Amino acid sequence: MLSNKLKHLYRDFNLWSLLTMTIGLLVAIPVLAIVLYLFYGVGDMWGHITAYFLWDYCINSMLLLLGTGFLTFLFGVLPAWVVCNYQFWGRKPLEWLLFLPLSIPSYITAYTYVGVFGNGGTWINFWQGLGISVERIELMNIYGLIWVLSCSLFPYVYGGARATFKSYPKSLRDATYLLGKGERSYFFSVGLPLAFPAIVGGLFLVFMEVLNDYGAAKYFGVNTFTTGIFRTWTALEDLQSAIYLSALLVLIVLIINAFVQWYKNKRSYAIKQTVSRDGTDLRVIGKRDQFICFSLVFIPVFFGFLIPLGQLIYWARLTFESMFTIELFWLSLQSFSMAFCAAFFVLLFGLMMVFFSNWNNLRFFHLFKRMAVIGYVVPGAIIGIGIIRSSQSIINFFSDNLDLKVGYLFYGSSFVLIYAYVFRFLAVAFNLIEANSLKLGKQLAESSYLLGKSRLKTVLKIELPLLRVTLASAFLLVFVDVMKELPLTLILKPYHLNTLAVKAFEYADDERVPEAAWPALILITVIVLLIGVFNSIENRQKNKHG
Amino acid sequence: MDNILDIVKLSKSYDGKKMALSDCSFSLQRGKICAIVGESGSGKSTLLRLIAGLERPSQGAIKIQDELVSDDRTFVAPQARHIGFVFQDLALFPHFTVAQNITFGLKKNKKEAVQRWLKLIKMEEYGAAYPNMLSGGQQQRVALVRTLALEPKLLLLDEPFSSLDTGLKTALRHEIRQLVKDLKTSMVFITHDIYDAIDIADEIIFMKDGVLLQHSSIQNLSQNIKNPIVGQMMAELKSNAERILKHV
Repeated sequence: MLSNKLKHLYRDFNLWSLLTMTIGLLVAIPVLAIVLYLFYGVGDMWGHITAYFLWDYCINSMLLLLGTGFLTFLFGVLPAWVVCNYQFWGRKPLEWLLFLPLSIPSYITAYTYVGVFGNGGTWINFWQGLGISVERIELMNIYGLIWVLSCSLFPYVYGGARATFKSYPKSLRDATYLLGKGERSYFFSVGLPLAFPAIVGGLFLVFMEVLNDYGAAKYFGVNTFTTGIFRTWTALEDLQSAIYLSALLVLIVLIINAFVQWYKNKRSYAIKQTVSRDGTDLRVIGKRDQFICFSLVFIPVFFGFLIPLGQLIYWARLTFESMFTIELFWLSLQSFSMAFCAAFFVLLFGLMMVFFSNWNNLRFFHLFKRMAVIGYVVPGAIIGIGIIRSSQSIINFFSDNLDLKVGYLFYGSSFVLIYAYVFRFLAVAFNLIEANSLKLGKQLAESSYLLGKSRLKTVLKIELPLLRVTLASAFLLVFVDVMKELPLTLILKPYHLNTLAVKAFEYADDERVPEAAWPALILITVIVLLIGVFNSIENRQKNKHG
Repeated sequence: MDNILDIVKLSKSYDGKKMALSDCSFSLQRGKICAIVGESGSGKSTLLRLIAGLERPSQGAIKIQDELVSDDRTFVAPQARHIGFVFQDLALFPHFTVAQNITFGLKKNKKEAVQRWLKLIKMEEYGAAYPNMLSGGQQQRVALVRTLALEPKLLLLDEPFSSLDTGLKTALRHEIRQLVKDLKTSMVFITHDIYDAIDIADEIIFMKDGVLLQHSSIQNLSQNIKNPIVGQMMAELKSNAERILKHV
């Protein structure tokens, strides 16, 4: 039996197995480094951290997860249900506007909220202009942070819930009514339970973003794991303790991930769709109900998109002369080029990982594929620490053994930052390409092999042309993610490089919040445009393939 | 013996536990057409995919024209086996025209090949059409000539008639047999319709639960049923086919 297995290993191991393993290990270096450096023991400040901060980090992070979980559930699920089931005034534009809060990075939403509701903010000025005195709303605490993050992140839940609610055939609703149940029963007993796996998937993305957040938490002065990792590393100058904090955060992420996977496997239902939903089976409702539906949908859009956007436009007007300069143009150009390069490499590695792992014949080598895409659930700060720690070892190795100074390669160029983006966002491209290449099926490629074509020719002539829409979508999604990314860029960017996201953060951190408006607005405009392009690509694909 | 295909004690398990194919052995002479008959899950498709090199066997060996292409240590890639395969869903490339599909595997004389093969299947005016513009029968013909254009040593067809209506099926059965005999190639095809097998094949293999039950020639089939399960299968397959024919 064993000798048979060894013979098969000899027969089935190929170049692609080797490449799958190499890319998997290469991409996963940051997490492997954290695990490895745990064995070096705790840092000097660990006692101080556990005595004064760790409890705070744990409690605040838990409160943030619970609070944002609850609010994003409300802001995401109720509007999704309403837009998928009822006809009301403004439904169509609002259905798409509900995605737009994602275009504003949560730290920028945080600045605008303080600008609106803080001391001397727009809200107080407005009422004072009318001769009415109002108290400011205290936002710079954990509850304010929960509100801001929820307003910014609920589209993750909305997107998942909406897609599932849209997939329900009309017969599901008709059957519920014919069995004597009403609207409420249809929602609570049928619609909601069936959508739970998708909603949990959306909540998982929210949780990852909450744990990854640095800008908003720092601005609001809330101690979380991510702000703690930064503080331990920069203010306390104890990288080893920062690694221990990172490991704890990875543990939390893994526990949440395990729970989500377990839940999704346990509660996934296949819905047989017999009739496609084209909007004609929406229920027509009375004026009062239309108003309720409109309000349910408009409130998240108002708080998540219109308030931050309005405040940014107001600030942009105030700072037009000082900010609208050639420097802003250069800054935008740097940001776009970084996002472009990163998206290109992420796509390249995503393609390699999908095809190499398919061509590899050893099933257990798929483990490396999973390792390579772990980055999306690892907060940026941890990736940053992992890369700093591992690149230090490489620099020391070259310096000690070969007397070569290679530090500038790591810290003076964008090479490390692009590598970090590849690790962080590989899952975005990989999952999209893998899902769509599975949809293509194996037979087109197999047919090409049997017609005498090599794997490379088959990819170039058959699979890539058929996947081009998917590749364009993956590129755009990664581009948007890189444009918004903050913690990782802050840690790893070379001195001479700046991005719109980092610049906006730096202005806000220097108490020059209005100046942050221009970089933020350019960022939002580009992201909104790209979301528009993404939607039109997706619609074109749907129209083409039905 | 001039065999085109030799299968020796071939087994395949996808999960390491359940056998999709167990200890299967048979040979096929050059120029013969062999039908593999069996229910869903009987291992027919697995056997065909193993011969084509699209799967790797757990045990056993495959020889094509006396050349070892697969065993515990050896594995020749599908593109090097010179085998033609027509998939059940045809796998025509949707972004290529009919002419581009036919010439995809060719290295030279592409223009002549398109003319010759399209003439043979009476579709001369469809060279610039895309697969989604063709009927089911036309798509089937294009998939077949795309494979035959490479002059394979052995032709494999996975349920070639399953998506066709009865009239078209009968016509296409005769066309395929004629083409294969004219080109002096050999063919193995899968079907669950006993009439497909009787109409085209020279030999027939019965399979059930991954086991090869019987391999015999079509002429001797009625006198030569060794296995009672095969007798039962024959009766079931016949009655199913007759029921369908009655409805038509």
